[in-house]
Amino acid sequence: MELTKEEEKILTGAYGKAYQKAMKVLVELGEFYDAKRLVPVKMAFLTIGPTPGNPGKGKEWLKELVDLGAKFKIPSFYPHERAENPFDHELNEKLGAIFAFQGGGNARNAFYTPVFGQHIVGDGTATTHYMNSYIGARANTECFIGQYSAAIIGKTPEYGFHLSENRKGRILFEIKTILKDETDWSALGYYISKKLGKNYWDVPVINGIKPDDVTNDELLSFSSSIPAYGAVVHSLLVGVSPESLTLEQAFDYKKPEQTFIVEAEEINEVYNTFSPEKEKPDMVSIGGFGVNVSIETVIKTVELLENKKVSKDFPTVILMDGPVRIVSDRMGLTDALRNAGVKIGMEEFLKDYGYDPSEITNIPIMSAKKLGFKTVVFADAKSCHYIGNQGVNSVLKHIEECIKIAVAGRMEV
Amino acid sequence: MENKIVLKGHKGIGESAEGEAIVCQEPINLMADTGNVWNDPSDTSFTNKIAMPSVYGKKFANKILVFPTGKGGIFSSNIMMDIAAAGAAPKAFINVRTHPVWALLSIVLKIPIVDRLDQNPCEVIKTGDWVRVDAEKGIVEVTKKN
Repeated sequence: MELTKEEEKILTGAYGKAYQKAMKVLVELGEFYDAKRLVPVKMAFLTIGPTPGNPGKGKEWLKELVDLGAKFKIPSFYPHERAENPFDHELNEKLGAIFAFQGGGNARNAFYTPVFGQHIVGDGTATTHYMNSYIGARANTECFIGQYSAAIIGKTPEYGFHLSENRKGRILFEIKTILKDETDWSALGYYISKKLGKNYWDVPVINGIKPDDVTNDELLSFSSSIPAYGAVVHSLLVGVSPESLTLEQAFDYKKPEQTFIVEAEEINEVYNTFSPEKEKPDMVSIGGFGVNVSIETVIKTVELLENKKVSKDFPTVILMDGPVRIVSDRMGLTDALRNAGVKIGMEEFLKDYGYDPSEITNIPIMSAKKLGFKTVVFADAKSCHYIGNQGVNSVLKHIEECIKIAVAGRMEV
Repeated sequence: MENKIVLKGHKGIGESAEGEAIVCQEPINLMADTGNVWNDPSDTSFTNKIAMPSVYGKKFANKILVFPTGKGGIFSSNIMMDIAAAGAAPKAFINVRTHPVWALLSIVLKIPIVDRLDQNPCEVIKTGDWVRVDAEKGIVEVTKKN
């Protein structure tokens, strides 16, 4: 990789050890992927995430950079919910982070958005997918090591989805069925993700959806699940993605390497993968891991629960964050949900059920086993996939069915 | 059949290591696939039955972990950093094509990683084979168990 004189100086330590350490990461990464140079990045969305240790070796690595005097070079956003942790707050504050809504890899909360063609650092996979696919910004999915190194230097190696040639469509998915809600879109994401599971670099092209057939919330739901089973963080939705206004453009006027037809059967296959083994669930969770709900879903949930209460046999939880939570509070929706017996966030459930918050994490995909959960119902495929790590039978249902199960206290097996 | 196979690939990250192979056919995301890491990183195993049928219940500590690539989820690196601190990390990684998160965790943990080999490592290498990884040269030497 060719470095400018200034970059060489950083690498040799002329600006101190912190910048040298960050630059070494970028150079090693760039050389591994045959990048020719570093490119400037305009902004960084950051996440460290949960870690088995306390504070964890990852955070210690970051603390070393902070102690060496590193500062962010570009606007860098750290999710405000995670910044409630004093250790994370102090580290990120010293680096110069903006504590924005951007949280848990959820692009719905992006406080600051790039414009078409800009190189950025893309937080979690869902945000990276959204920014690549629907804004046309350019990002790879990297963990905190790459994210923070790039934010400190203000540059990233030019590889992967920073390069035009890697952003062209490779595999065609022809949609021949109607996707009726966010849950169906998350099921489609899971289906595509599983088909392409072994390759980060395949770019799927989704054809057959008109702009009037899809909402931004559905694209956000799709963005959360398409990198869940597999690794896709850039796809092209014909007629919607700015780099694929036509099918021909999506494939750069070449033929697709492979074509899949998606009919109702393929979507049903995903629901069947996550079907119940017993009739009584241990929890119904609207929203789950990295897929916090849209305001439309909150409104729908309140409507479905009008004059009803959820069963007391198990918790029904709704996970909201960022602006959605603020708007829900402001509109009285949060109170309406509480009155119907719904727990607002895992924290409320843990408190009400008498769990010690220092013993049990509020992320179901890490705590389900400790809580003794065997069956959990979700309205999104990403959470269903992740909670498989806890040996839990996860069940995928549309929001209407989730509420029906929550009220009835059981489901059909 | 010859007992030794040599695979040649791209220059990797890190230096060299050798050990017994564990071969996984699915892409890996430690957040979704290794649930018991939250209770005890030193005892990490693959716990997701639906996502990880080829290695369900198996451990990778001190082995050469062969898998197609990383997958969605960016937390594999901080999780692996704690697994490594608990002495249970693999000795090296071999991929068909390395996911950026795994390249980055290899850089920081100095665990050798190689990819872009001239044969598919997930087909050529079987669990239990003895494998030597020279990441600086991008070479993998496989001594077949049988």
